[in-house]
Amino acid sequence: MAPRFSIVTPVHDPPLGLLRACLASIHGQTFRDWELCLVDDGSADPAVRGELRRAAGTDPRVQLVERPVAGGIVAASNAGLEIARGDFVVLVDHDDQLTTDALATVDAALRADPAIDYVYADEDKIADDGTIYDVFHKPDWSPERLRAQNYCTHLSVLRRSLVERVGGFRRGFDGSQDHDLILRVTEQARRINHVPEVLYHWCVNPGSAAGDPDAKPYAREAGRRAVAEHLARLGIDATVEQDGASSHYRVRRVRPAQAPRVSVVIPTAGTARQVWGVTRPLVLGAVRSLLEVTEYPDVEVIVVTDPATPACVTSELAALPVTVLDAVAPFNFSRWCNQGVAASRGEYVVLLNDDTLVEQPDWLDVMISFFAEPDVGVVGARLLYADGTLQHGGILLNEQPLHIFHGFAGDDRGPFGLLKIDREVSAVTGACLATPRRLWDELGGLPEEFAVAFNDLDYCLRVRHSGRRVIWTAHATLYHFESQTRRPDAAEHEIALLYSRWSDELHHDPYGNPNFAPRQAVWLPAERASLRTALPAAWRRVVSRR
Amino acid sequence: VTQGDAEVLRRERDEAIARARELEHELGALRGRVKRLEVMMWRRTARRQRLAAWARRLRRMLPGRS
Repeated sequence: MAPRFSIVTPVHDPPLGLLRACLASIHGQTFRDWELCLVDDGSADPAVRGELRRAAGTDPRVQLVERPVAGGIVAASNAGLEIARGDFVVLVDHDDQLTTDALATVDAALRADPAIDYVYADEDKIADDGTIYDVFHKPDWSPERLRAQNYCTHLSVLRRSLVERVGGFRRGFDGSQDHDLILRVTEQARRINHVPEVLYHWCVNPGSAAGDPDAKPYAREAGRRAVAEHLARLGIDATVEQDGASSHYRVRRVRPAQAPRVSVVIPTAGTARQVWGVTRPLVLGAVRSLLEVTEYPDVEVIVVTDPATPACVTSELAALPVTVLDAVAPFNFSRWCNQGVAASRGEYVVLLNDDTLVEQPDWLDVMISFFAEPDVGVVGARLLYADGTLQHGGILLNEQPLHIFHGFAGDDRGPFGLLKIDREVSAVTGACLATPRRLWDELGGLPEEFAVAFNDLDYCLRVRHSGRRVIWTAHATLYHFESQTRRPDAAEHEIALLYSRWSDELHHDPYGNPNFAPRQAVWLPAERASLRTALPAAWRRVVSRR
Repeated sequence: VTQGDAEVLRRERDEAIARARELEHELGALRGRVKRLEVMMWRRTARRQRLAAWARRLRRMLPGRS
């Protein structure tokens, strides 16, 4: 009878101690229905060869293929796949370790849903001296992120029949063969599951990619090609670039020959504020920079002005090539946006706050290009304060909506490059939010019952409920001159409404991780009780009533 | 004020704005660094507390301990 799991481990001259630790971690599994497919890829060290033969000789579940000449990790891994008989393939490197409950935990997840074709888990790194560090608590399935980085990597468990159907590992992708395989498997997987528990210790030793992404530059190039071919298979016209020195990739989608019209809607009260020493109406800077800097070819700008907007501002706006609408009083941000969108003619809508400034010519190209995929419903931008610190890097729902890594330096990469890559999020801020007009109409625009706060969040969550993705891009950056010290201005009834509509979503963000401390936006581990900050008073009142 | 003077004034103003922006960015970089270091310190504390809790549990499990 075929075992549940086939662990495939190609071996090529690992440090002997690490190989023994790896084998011990497999033998120590609490779940027993596995086989180990070892492939010695021409190891020169006789001690390694001896250790492998000893392992195969003492446990009938261990099979050994000996390749006298090293053929590389792809050939060795495929040799392992050839002898695998299990329902699922488990990829384990020759110097890494599984936690003792790894297979049992994955098995439980698979039993809960027989349609799962691919499972990945959280991981950490283990140093020579056994120190564990760099715990990577991952998001649930995030396809855009997988294009930017192989965040799934360890531990990966794949249905063997699907691995065979896609042709196993591909020659020419050595070093990123797992990224390439995961991309091809997930393109066809019925269901993908994430286990939010550390089940894999990735060993850091000299020359390993765990400790130094530059150790294998050929692997980064292979990864880039893997992502490029993945996009080509999906029919997405794009190029892929390596992102500097890291093993991250940037996907640049190509603008179609006939660029669809984009309508930028800016509600304003003509407020003036001091920025970089100058006090001026912010909306004028926003509109002028938008018109002068943006290189997107077909943009219409609609400014919805509050009745209290100073006459000097409205007269200056009237002199610009924009449509100016008088807002319907009283103040309701959602209604004003809806009013602006109703008057627009673009295929795509961008909501833009009046206290923004555009300096990046291709910002709109970057944002709109994501809509080449029909399941993308919203795209949000990277927003910086006047001092260059991060205002918006996506919203995390962690008992309350939070701007992640708010106030961190603009060039901070965030954990595992989080702030430098495009990825799915639960929601983005309405300060700069792009969405297709057809979807806007389908969902009824912004909810007018949220006059001030959470209208963007509600819209994004409705978009996600419609089966579409919300993307935050690190590659469209604008300034957002919002006050850094402003207190939350949500009304209590808005908080109550948010909770009544989206309580489940507020307590489970698929792009966060249950191991994070509640009400924290900076990926802190959950254990430290003293960090459990109090909810703001208005939130506390609402939550206590529930 | 002659036309020439106005241009000089405008240039000086723009230079001052650029310098103000530069200084604010330097301040922002420092603020961001403080935030990052604080989070790193919290993480270290959390790890130490986790280890201490684990050691306490282990001690309780040893024979002769309640």
